[in-house]
Amino acid sequence: MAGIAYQRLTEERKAWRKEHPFGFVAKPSKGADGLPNLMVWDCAIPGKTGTPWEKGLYKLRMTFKDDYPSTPPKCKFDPPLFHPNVYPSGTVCLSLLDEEKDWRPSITIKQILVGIQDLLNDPNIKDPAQAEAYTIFCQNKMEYERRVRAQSERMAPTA
Amino acid sequence: MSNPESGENQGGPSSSSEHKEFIKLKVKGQEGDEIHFRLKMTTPFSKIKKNYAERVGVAAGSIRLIFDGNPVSDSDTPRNLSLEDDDIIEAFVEQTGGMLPGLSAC
Repeated sequence: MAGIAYQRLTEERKAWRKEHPFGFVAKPSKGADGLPNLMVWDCAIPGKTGTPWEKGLYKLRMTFKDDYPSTPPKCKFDPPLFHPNVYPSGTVCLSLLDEEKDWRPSITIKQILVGIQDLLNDPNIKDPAQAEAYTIFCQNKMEYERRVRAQSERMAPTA
Repeated sequence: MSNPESGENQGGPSSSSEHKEFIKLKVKGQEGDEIHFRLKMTTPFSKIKKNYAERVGVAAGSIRLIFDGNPVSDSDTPRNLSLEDDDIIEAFVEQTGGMLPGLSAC
């Protein structure tokens, strides 16, 4: 594992434990050996209150490469989401996560997760990543909202 | 449970919570409220929940404590969860919407 990535991710985790936005989760995943794997994080993003996303807690896996933070992590919803900017595989399409576009090494994990939360109810229609949600969003807003609400209920945190 | 997450505390003795007797924790609510607790590493969370509930004025039974996305049970302690100073515990108040008051998710 690259030293800089490791160091940065250790710092990110330390900072997260002491301060993070309410309801969000970000923690190193556990490997098969039961030890934490700093290069893959298990995260969760709550839907914003007052939006059709609000009931859900959306699980996302963040995968870092050895050259992080020069390159952004790959963020993948698992299970995949019904959303115009999420690929059928679950991978998030966001300029913030594109090293050719808005990614900067100083962007924190907290900022990424909050940025993705913003994207949920504010899709970028110029840059669709899946046909289904994109088409419904453009053709029938009420049906789109109904689908989003149904998904949020399906993905509500299990108490 | 005897070897909880030992891999994450790589900081050596200074950051290790294993030998400490007391810990400071923050319990955060949905509205942004934050209450600090100083407690023993072996104190069960049932006490924190009760104390927090009294301070914010809700029934202890309606509160769910969460750490790192996982529910904290009444019998958990800071030690068995490998907590460190200033860790955040989140407190969700069950929203029953005035219905089914007896329904507890815990």
